[in-house]
Amino acid sequence: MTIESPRPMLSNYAGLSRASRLRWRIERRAHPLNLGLFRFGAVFVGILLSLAAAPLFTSASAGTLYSSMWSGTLGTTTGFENVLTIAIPLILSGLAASIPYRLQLWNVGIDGQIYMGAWAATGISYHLASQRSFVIIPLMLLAAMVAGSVWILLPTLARVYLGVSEVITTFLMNFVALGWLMYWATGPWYAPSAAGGVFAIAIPTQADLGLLHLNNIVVDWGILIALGLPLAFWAANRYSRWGYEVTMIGASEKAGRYAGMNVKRTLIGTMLIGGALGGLAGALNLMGTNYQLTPGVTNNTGFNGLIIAVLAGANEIGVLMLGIVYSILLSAGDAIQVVGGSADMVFAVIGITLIFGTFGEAYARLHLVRTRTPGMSSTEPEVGP
Amino acid sequence: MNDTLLVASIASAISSSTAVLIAATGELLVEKTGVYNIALEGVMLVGALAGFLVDLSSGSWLLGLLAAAVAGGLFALLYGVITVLFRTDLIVVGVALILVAQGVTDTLGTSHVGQSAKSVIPIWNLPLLSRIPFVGPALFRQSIVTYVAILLPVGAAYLLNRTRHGLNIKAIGENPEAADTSGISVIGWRLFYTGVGGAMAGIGGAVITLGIVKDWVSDVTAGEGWIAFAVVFFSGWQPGWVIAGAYFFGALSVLGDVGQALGWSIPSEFFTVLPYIGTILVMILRAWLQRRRGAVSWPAALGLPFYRG
Repeated sequence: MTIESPRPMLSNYAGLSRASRLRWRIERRAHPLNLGLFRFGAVFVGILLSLAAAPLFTSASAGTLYSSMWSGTLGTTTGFENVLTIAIPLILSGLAASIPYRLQLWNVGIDGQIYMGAWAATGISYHLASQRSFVIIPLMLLAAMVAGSVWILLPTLARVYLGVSEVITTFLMNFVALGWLMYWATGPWYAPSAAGGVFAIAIPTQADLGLLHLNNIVVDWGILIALGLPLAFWAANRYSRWGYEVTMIGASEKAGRYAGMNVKRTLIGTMLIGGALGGLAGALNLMGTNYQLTPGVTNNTGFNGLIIAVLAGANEIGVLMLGIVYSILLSAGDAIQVVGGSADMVFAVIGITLIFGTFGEAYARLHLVRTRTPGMSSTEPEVGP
Repeated sequence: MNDTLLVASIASAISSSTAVLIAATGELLVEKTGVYNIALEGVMLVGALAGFLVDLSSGSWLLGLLAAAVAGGLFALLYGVITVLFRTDLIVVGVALILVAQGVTDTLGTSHVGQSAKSVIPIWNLPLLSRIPFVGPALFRQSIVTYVAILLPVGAAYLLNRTRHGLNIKAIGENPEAADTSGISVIGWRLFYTGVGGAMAGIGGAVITLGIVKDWVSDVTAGEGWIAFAVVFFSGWQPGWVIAGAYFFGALSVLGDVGQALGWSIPSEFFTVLPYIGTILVMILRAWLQRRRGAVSWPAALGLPFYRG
């Protein structure tokens, strides 16, 4: 029943039909516009509109609001350092979602993988507290990736072998991970804290990521991983056998199977890579920002990463760029709290930009046409082959 | 386990299932038309806050529920318009609207965190039945909404299986092209039921703030929207199994209190995560059993956008 082309002949019949009348309808375009362009464009329109509307939702004057946003993001060195620091887990979360998304698989459990990654890295750092940095840091990162993969394993197997929607199961695993983290952070690894909040004992100092000095900008070297991995995956997707298989199976599972590819293995492997990247995001956040296991190791980072992946159309370079755009947005959200903005309003803004993006894409695919009553088109005899 | 504890646990399990039961029944109707509202968590959150705020200002839980229905319905309708009318991706828009709901309810509710609901949904002891020893206090001393909630899936089953209206709903979910040919407005019905399902999810959210937790904290729904969504999958799109799924969730969520009362030496976090891990496991179990029988139970057009011609 789905026919791609519109029916240009329709108006010719219109006068003949008794029931016909002019109506607005949404139809698919015969030739879709550039999806990515319209999606990106709409996102920026959404961001601009949100910025314009921001003064309405805060008590501060527009002037103070915008100047604090500017100095909290690109206007000052501290602001820019903050943007880069937030970008690290965000870009990795974006990759954690975008790599399975190439196969139409959803990793909605990135926050849980971040918790588990940070947990595993913490555990390793306690055990190897007497070791030097070059031993302890790689092992922590490795453990975090393994923990992230393990965390997505059950939903992945359920999806691949039984068709259980991974959207629900990966998301519910987030709550389980949070409970697991809370148990360790309030129990065996509990560190009494005067400030309140849940914090485990700090990781040993040689487990902290070192700092990079670029002129006067100081940021931990996790940024190199965050900038390098998207490029590596971009190359892998284009030039490796795995990338070819993912592209092929993503386009059509059937085609992949006919071509003799092991579809299940690719699906599982890709999901596990997504989980590992989520775990890595957790470890980098722990070792570069928090230094203590805490539920604050993610602040909706996983959801934001998912949004970045979708808006980037699962393109790794797009993930990198949008990761930076959204970390500017999140930094601005942090900055306006000082002048009386709401902490969580920025999440609403991110959600709204995503809706703008989907509308942009919808506009590229669909158009509004005014045709005669559609009742007629369905009574037209179908011409057989 | 002594009797008083068992009675209290059963009563509490039933009452804490109510929100999920109402939301899941609404979602079942939506999904029968071929749309799934994955923003259910956000819709419940919006309903929870709207109900709570109206309850605070009016002092009436009934007005609170009404406001929750309206707010939830409108928010879900927004989801419906974006996805059904503009044929956008259900999951993407769902995630976006959950974020919007979190941001908006957090912002609007900040000044009310920790406040208690002014008027809570009252308990109604069923005449005679509530006097039966053991069974009475366990089952028949519930809040008014709880009794209504159990009737909802029954009503849904009647609607779907015994009426022409229900037949239309199923036709739209199974074969929208055929429904369209027979003169049913597929888009119109889908939008209408997205709104209806949203109103029910909104009420479910308000049941949490006005009947279960009885106060406002940010993210008060704590994943119950996702659980309701999972319950519909678990149910195999059959109203009877929705009841079973919701009560299973309720039973898991009170197990922690039971353990605490009995002095089990199991960390409390274990019980906190039990409803989530339990929901995942029953979904898997159900899918495994279904695979063995080889039955496909979801509406054939579930999640597919409708294009005419």
